[in-house]
Amino acid sequence: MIENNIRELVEAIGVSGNEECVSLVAKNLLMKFLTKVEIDDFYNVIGYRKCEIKNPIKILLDAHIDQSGFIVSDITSEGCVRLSSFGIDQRNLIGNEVTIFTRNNELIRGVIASSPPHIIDPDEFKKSVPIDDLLLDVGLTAERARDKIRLGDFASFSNQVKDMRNGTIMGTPLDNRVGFACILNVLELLKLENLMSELIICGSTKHETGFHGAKNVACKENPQYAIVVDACHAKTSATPKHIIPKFGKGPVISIGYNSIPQLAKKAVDIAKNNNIPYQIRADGYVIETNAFEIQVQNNGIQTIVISYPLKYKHSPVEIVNINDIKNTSKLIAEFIKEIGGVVS
Amino acid sequence: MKDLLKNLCNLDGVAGYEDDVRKYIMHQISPYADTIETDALGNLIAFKKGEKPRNRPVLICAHMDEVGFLVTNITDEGQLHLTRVGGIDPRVLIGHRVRIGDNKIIGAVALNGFGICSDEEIKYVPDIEDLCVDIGNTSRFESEKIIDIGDPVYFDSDFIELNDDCVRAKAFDDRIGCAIMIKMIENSLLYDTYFAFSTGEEVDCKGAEVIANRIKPGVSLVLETALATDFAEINVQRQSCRLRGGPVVSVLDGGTIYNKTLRNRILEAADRQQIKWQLGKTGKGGTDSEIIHIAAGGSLAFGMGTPTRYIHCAYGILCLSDLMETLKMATLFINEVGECNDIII
Repeated sequence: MIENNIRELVEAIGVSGNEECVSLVAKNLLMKFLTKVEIDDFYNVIGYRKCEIKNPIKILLDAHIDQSGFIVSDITSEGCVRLSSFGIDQRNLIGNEVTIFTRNNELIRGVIASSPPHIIDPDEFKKSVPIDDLLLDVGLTAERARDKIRLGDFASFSNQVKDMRNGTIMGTPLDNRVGFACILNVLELLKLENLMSELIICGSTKHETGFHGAKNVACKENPQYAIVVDACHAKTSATPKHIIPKFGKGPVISIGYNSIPQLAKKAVDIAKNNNIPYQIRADGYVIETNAFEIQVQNNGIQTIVISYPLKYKHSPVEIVNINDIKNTSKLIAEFIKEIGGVVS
Repeated sequence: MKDLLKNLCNLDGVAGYEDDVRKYIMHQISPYADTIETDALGNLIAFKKGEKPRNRPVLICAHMDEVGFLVTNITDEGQLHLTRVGGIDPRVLIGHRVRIGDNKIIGAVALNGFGICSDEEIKYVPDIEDLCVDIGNTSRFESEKIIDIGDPVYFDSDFIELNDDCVRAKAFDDRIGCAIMIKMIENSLLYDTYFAFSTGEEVDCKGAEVIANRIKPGVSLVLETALATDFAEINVQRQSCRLRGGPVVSVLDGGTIYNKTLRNRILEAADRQQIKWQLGKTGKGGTDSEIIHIAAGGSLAFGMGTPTRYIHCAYGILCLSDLMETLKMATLFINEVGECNDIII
C-alpha cells in the first residue's frame, strides 16, 4: 500500500507555487481515512481526525508535498526554452529530462541541451554549467513552442518512480511525497485506536520556497504539538563527515532548537520500548524543515522533526528505503498514542 | 519505421556486447536477405540480390554498438565504479538512471544531495572513473551476488515520441543506420548490394576493418548519426547541421575525405527527385568509413547521416521526417552507383 501511495503522489506534478495537481491527489488519498479534508488558498491539504473527547490535545502532522523545480524564463528563436531554477544542483542539469506544465495543463517533455563530446574541449568536461547558460530542447518548432509555452510556466525533472532491489525506491520527487505517504501509513496504523487527541493532517505547500504553506496552517489550526515529517540526507561514500544518518537504519529523530529535546527524548524512549530502529541527529542550528516556521506561530508550538534517510536529495534519482518509511510511520503512530493518550 | 527504430533503440549493446542487437536484426532480415553471415568480431553481413549484378561489390554499413560503460570495481559499500566505452561527457551521466548487465539491474549515478555542497564545489564535476553507481545495496557482498566486473552499463532511457514529429531515445547512434538498412533489405533492389552491421565502432571502428577486408568493396556508404548542433549555445562556426533539414551528406569528417564526384552525382539525382538534403558543415567525429575506404585496396566513399541532437547521451532527439528522407537518399545511392564500373574520378 505504501508503495502505491508513493507512486500516486510522486507522479502528480507539484512544483512550489503550482501544487494544484498534487494537492488533489493528496486530498483523495486522505479521504480514504478522514471524512473532513480541505484544500486552502495556498493549496495546502488539511484533514481532520476528530476524537470523542472535549477540548482534546491538537497534534499537527505535517509533510510538505511540493517539489523543487524550474520556471520558464525565455523562449529562444529556435524554439528552445530557457529556465531559472530553485533547489536544484546545477551538476544534475546537462542531458537530463525536464517536463514543463503549461497553462493549458499540457505536459511537454524536453531534454536539457548538451553539445556533443566530439566538439567540446575535454577541459570543459570538468565544469558544470549554470542553469542560465543552458537550454531545454522540447523538440518543438519555434512557432509552436511560443504557442504552447509561456514565460512563468513551471517545470521539473520528470516525475517518476522505479522499484529497485532490496526494498529501495528510486525517483523524483521522493522528497517529500514519501513523507506524506508516511503520514497516510500513520493513519492506517491508528485506524482502530481510540485516541484522546485530535489529529490535523497537513500536506503543506511552498516549502521549497520558504516554508510558506505550513506556516499558515499552523497559525490557523494552533495545535499544541506539531510533528514534521521530512527527508534528511543519508550518508553515502561521497557525503562529508557531518552527514551522520545511515540509509536503511530507521527513522531519524532530530534534537535541537527546532525539534525540542523534551519531545525528541520521548520519541527515543518510545522507539526503544517498541523495538523500532531509530537514529538521532543533533541539529544545533536551523534545520531546513517546516518546524522552523511552525514553532513560532501564535504563542509557540512544540515541534519535533522525524525524518527518513534519503540519498541524492533533489536529484532526478533520489533513493529511499521502504523499511525506513515503515519504521518512521510506526514511530510516529506510537508517539501520537503516547503524547496524546489512548482511551483504555 | 518508428516501431522498428523503437525496438532497436530499446535494446542494449556496447562494443563487444552487441549480441541482442545482432539477434534482433538477424530475425528481421532473414526472410529478405539472400545470404547472412557473421564473423569472429560479431559483425553481421547480409547480401541482397538485386535485379542486376555489379562488377565490384557495393557496401552499405552501419554499426550496432552504442556508447556505454563497463563495471570496473565493486566498493565496500556495494557501489560500482565505471569506465566508459566510447566518447562520453561525464556531465551527461550525473543524475541519471542506468541499467546493468543481462538482468538489467537498475542503478543511479548521483553526487551529493542538494544543500550539502558549497557554491564552489558545485562548479566542478568528477571524471567518470570517480563516479559511483548506487544499486540500492549497502555491502560488497550483496552487490557481488548480482554484478560481475565487466558487466555492461547503459543509460536507462526508453524510446518516446516527443513533439512535432520528434522522437527521443538513447542509442540513435547508430541504430538509425541499422533501421534504414533493415528497411532497404526488406524492399526489392535494383542492384546487388552488401549490407554490413558492424561492431565496435565506438572503440576505433574495429569491426569495419574486418568487413572491408572480406567484401573488398568498390564503393561504400556509411549511414550514421550527424551531430545536429543547431541551438543558440553553440557558435555558428561549430554548428554542423540542423534538425528537419534532411539527411546530412558528408564532405569530410574526423577520418575521411569523401569522394566529390560520387557525392555530386548523387546530390544531382537527389535534386531531380526532390529529396531534401544538407551538407555537413564541420569535420568532427569519425565513422566506420575512415577504415572502410582505405582498407583492402581502397574504395570510393559516400557518407550520410540523419541529424540527431545529443548523441552519446541518455536522451537523443531526432525528427522522423529526416529519417525517411535518409532512407530515400540511401536507396538512391544504390541505384546511382549502378554497376560500379562507370564512376570516373
